Amino acid sequence: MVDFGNILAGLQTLLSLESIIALIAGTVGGMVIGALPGFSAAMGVSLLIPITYGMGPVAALSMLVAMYTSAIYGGSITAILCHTPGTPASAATAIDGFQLTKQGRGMEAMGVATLGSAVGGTVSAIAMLLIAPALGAFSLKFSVLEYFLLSVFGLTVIASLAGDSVIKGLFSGILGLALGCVGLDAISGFPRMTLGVIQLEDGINFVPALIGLFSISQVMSLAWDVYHGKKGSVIEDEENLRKSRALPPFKETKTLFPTMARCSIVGTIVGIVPAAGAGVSSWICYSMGKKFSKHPEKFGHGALEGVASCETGNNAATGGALIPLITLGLPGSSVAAILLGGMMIHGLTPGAAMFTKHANTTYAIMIGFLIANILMGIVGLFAARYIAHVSAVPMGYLGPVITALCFLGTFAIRNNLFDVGVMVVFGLLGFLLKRCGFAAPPMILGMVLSDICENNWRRAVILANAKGGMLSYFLSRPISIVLALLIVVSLFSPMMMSYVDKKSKQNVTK
Amino acid sequence: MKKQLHQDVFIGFICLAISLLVFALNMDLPSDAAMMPRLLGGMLTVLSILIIYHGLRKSRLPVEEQGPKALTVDALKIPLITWGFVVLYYILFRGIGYFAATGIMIIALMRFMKRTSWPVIIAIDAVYLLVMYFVFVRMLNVSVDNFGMLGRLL
Repeated sequence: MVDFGNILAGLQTLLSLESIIALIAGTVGGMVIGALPGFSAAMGVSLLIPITYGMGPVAALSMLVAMYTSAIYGGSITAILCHTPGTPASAATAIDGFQLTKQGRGMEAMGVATLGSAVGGTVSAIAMLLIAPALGAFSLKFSVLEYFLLSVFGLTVIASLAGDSVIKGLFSGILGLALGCVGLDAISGFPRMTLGVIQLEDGINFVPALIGLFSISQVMSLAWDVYHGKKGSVIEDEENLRKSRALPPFKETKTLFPTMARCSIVGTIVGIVPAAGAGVSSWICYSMGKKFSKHPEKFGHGALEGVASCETGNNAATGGALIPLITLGLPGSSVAAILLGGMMIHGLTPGAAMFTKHANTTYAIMIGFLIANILMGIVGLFAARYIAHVSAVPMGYLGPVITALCFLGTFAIRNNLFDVGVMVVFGLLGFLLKRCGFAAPPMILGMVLSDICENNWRRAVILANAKGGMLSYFLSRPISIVLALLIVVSLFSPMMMSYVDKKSKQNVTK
Repeated sequence: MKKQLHQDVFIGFICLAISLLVFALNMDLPSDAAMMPRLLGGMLTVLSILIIYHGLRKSRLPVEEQGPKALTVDALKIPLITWGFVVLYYILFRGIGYFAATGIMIIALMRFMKRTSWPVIIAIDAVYLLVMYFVFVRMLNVSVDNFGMLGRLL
């Protein structure tokens, strides 16, 4: 039951100068941190925690949640303009966003990303305000089999990311899954494919791999053009940039609203699932956006729908991740886990007490999150028209600076030079993959989902053996059945839609 | 009509080598730990064979219709030299620290990318290093300055 009295009391608590300044600082700071390659939302939030020691709980946590959502959005800025995802959650945005930048429509792409992020974040904030306890209870129903099926659902995206050659795209995705197996096996502890290198026993950190595959390889590709004087900047049509606006014409923007609505809901639900996070949400929403699109052939070549779907999905997941955190103390993502530490530092224990003893503070934080998303949208739309001109900077200047930022960001993840080495190797791999017609996004998706997929499957097998076999275990779990049906629909819907389309064309010609 | 093997055939064989490597690296593991890598190795093998098959089909077309070659010296030279710069940057980072290595790399890579204006290059280099130092080392306590020979000396 929604308690509007508590919501109003929370709003009153939030309206202090300290909280408002903290909210603005968190929002703007998050956008900057998120835009820097290698500097993730998790890093931004953990860097801010010591700064919040002297603040009240409302101001402190409002700043942290504002940093979280803005950093996830901020990753789209460099993803769109420089093909360098600022955060792993923006990897999907780089696919279409950068193509739009090359067409001189980077400003519009950024505008759509901003709008999508603000809409997704706002919808999840409203869900959090109105139905957090019910949604929190839902997250408890997820167990190993549901996680496995959710990861398989995410893997069905691979074929849609394959680019021109489905076989090569699948090879890339499965190679990504194999690379995700490198390291100590989580269940048996045996080292797999570590080649005797001790640093590899921890696995290949996918963030340096992501930066190498997307960013370093892009610098290498553009170096050829720059060296031979073919073009100075990434833009192929500078005239478009001059004529560009922060958002496409309203008629075109309107067509994105159904995508944003759909991805807001899906992103919120995926965010609620512990350990899923904004990255998984963005890939699932990208795939859904392509399946439901009237022009799926445009995806991968500069589709605004592509940008809208993943950016809405990843920001919707941020609010979703906060729901089990606040209601049950179960972090929905790695950033939420850090926020849990922040909450406890400020004397807040997640659970029932958040809605009783600390109701004013809890609702103040939720409203702060809602306001941060709206503020992020306003600031982002205003800044888009200026930031987009980065794409017109000659690559001869931009490329070395991007390279330096990638080194700094990658090193900062774990203060570890090995990660930087991984990034360098994946830079070469990404370039060669692209030259040979293999798409890089499936590889990243494979690496992200490999761990979730394998470990949860093996745990599900162990549990199922104790419960009379996999079939009866599967049939006893309604969420698993729904997820399995979604997987089947996802795999066969392109064929079904193509058949329906062909039949309707035949009827028209008759 | 001149015919020659499409590059996808060679690329397919490299993919096949990778898939066999995945198998080979997991031969000695217990079945539980090896299940997923072997399954993936098998799938990679099948896909590699399909790539080779499609490459052979494309090879039946005349050379003019096969499309541009992916891997040529001309296409690879400059990107690989750029990658060489990145590798040298990594080595310098290990040796002399981030800021010194970055200062050198930015100048070298900009000159390689045919930027001729020294004042602009030096200005960008200096501003970048100053901003990164103050924001990340001083404000955000990212300890990148402690690394490398110069970092340890200072």
